[in-house]
Amino acid sequence: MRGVEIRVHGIRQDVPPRMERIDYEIVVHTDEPDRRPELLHDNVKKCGTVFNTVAPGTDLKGVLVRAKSQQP
Amino acid sequence: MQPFPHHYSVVARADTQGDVALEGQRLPSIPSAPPTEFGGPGDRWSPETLFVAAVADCFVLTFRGIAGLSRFSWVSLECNVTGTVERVDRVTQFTALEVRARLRLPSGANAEQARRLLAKAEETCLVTNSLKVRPHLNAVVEIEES
Repeated sequence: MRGVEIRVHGIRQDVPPRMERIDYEIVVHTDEPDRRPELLHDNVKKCGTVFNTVAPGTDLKGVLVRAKSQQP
Repeated sequence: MQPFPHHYSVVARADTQGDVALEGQRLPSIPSAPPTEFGGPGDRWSPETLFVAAVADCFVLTFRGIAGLSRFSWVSLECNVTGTVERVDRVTQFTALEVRARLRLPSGANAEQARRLLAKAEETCLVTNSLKVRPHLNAVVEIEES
């Protein structure tokens, strides 16, 4: 992997005040076969301290994709 | 205030080595790195310290908003938050948030109302309301001598 870019977008609801939903997109720059980035995403979800703290309290979802310049 | 829902977006960029750059529209970039507890340099904001900072910041701003709506006079508020990270069932996560608030009031102010407003700020804090772990508030109210 040469680099990563993560875009996070949160939506706040009014009553009660809380984050209604948090979406993320992980863009990886890599030549690894598809299974490896998928495994990376699984491990990020398992090991992220803040991810593991926030996930039970809100709708936290996202995808991991390969950088567009590297897609066939 | 703008109508709800509000949308907040942040981008994090990193190469295989070095800092993570945190960027948001019209915001200064924040260099981030793991904390010393996870083998990082310890001289950058980390996900863990940014998380705890968000709790402290949100508490103070929520109190400021509530106090303003209540026309309650106060002088200053210091909020010291300590988060505890543990591994529970093989999942590393924050398991406790200790919020120590020190509120300074002008002479003659109502300390009991101040405590109620501090408790209300804790109840309505956007950040902690989005978490399963509940913060523990320890508030000290000081009144300036006339």
